[in-house]
Amino acid sequence: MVLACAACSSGSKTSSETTTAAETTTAAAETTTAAAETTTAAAAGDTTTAAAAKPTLDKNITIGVSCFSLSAEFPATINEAIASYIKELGLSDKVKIVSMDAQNDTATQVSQVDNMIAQGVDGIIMLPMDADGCIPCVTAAKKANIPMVVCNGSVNTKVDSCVKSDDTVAGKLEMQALADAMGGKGKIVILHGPNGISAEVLRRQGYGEILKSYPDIKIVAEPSCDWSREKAMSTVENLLQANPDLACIVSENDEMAMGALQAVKDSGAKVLVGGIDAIADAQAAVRSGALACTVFQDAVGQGRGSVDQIISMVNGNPGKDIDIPFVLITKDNINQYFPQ
Amino acid sequence: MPSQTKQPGGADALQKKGLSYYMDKFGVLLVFLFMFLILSLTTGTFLTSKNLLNVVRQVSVNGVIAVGMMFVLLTGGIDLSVGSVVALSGVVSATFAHPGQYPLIVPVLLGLLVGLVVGAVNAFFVVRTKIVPFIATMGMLSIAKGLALVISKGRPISGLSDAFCFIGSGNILGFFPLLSLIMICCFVIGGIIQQKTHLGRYIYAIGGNENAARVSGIKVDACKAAVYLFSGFFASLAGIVLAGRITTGSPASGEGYELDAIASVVIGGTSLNGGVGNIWGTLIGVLIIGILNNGMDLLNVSSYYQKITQGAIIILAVLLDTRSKRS
Repeated sequence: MVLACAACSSGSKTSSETTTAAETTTAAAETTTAAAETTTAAAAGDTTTAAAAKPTLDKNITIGVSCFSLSAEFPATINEAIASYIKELGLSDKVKIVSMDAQNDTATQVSQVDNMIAQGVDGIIMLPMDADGCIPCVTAAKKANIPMVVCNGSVNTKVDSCVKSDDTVAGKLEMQALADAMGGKGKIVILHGPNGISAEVLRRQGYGEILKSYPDIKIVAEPSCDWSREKAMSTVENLLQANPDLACIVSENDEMAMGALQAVKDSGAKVLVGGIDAIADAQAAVRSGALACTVFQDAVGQGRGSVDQIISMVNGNPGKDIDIPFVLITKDNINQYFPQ
Repeated sequence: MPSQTKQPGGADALQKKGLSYYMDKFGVLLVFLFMFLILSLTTGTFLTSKNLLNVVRQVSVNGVIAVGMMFVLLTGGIDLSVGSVVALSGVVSATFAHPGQYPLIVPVLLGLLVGLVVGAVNAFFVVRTKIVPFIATMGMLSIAKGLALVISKGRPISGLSDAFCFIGSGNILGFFPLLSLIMICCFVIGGIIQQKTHLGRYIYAIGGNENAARVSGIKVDACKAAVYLFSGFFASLAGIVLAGRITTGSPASGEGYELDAIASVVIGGTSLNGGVGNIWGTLIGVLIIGILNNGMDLLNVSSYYQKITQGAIIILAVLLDTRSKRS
């Protein structure tokens, strides 16, 4: 897919590369999955597979990256992966990246994307704060004919390209693992992210789908802790008082899970805790056995996939949706994904 | 409760010793006791030593910030930068607090230095350039937050030494949270400054009437600079304590803490116009916010309704206070 653009733009090599281009298109879906695994397995060899479809450019472009937040580890990692992948592709001279931090505010994100469009960027990678609130961003980019890749989250309108992992799957993986560990019964608390944002809603949906088949698991509280470690810690300290027989804390992300874990540890209670994202602290906690599970969402894979897409689209190709798979991480498989 | 005769705003309260006099002095305390009673009766777990220690632990970070905030509000100023100072000092101290890296004193002093520097910059803009405190400290809110993100590269800094974490998560005598002891020390220091020093009295005078204070020979600029230094100092101490509590220096922490601190101080009877208020009221305000959050969790109140209740109680408590003061 990506070579196709190189082919149409650079006249000299056209004939020799058109055939390869056709092959690459079919292989593209595999390539991204492979790339996702690459980073996890940290096997340098696999990167070359991705390099087969190495995107190229024959002009200087500016890419706008609009992140819902740069103060949380996960989007910050995607943002860094975008920059380092471009460097790795040897395109740092040709691609200028403008990163903006919407600070968890939809309105800020909408105006930042407007600003990018006004600046005349050639393509935009957006990590949307809100599935509905960010619709204007997509519309504005379309109107200005600027290709846009929606990364990490989703937007409730037709987009040209979406590179993400399905959050419902993450919710299902986590809930299933915890339900198994609990023996299918007991009281649980679900720690919510900021109510209403898509990752929060979809992960909760995933929990719900699994919980349908476990009538003996009872939800006693669903506080919103805004992805924050300190809020989760205080909330769980309180909830442990009110529910001394709590069996499990299901957290919609690892930051909150780490706060919950600290509170559980301090109280001396025996409560299972699970999270999503596989941030560094959570990896260590899974390895030591303190955290029951986390779910690995491949930030680096999402960043790289977005770059592949945006460059392809800037070169005039139609965008496509790419799914970067989630992986359940437990003590059993942690070393396979995160070698010590 | 100390005599309010020294305080311009509280002086008229002494004129009549009716019910309103006691409402004035003890209004917030009554709100607190009422809430305490209700929670003790409606939940089986609120009135247990374990839970009360929990509350004391949870209010500590806000309490430390509130002490500094109170001085700023007493001069009629405001400091919106404290939440970001919490994040910045947490990140800076955590950077130097990995095991076997430096002695404990290094991260602690560097963290506190952060607060003093931010406080000094705030003071400079408020006192020298006469930018209104709301704007000057709002700018600093953003700058300090940005610096915290730059230093930490947007990631939580974890793997901190046990000694550092002990500041925020350790217990003394085996049960009492160290961070709460730190908060209590801050209140004692705040109380001494407020009631036993010239500076304390000058701060009230400035809040009551800045021009009058200036005319009567008080070094207004120096006093105003001092309150922003206090505020920065206490906020950075809170940041170190919080980093120890969550065993992580996180650039995302401290978000919205300025509002909690302001709410606590104002619930405690301090006027946003300056000149009125005292340290005991602030302590009660901090405790009210604390048992409110704790109690709603114990009662399993949904997080949507928690927000509504929080706002309503803040308005109600201040309304009660201002009404009793007016009468």
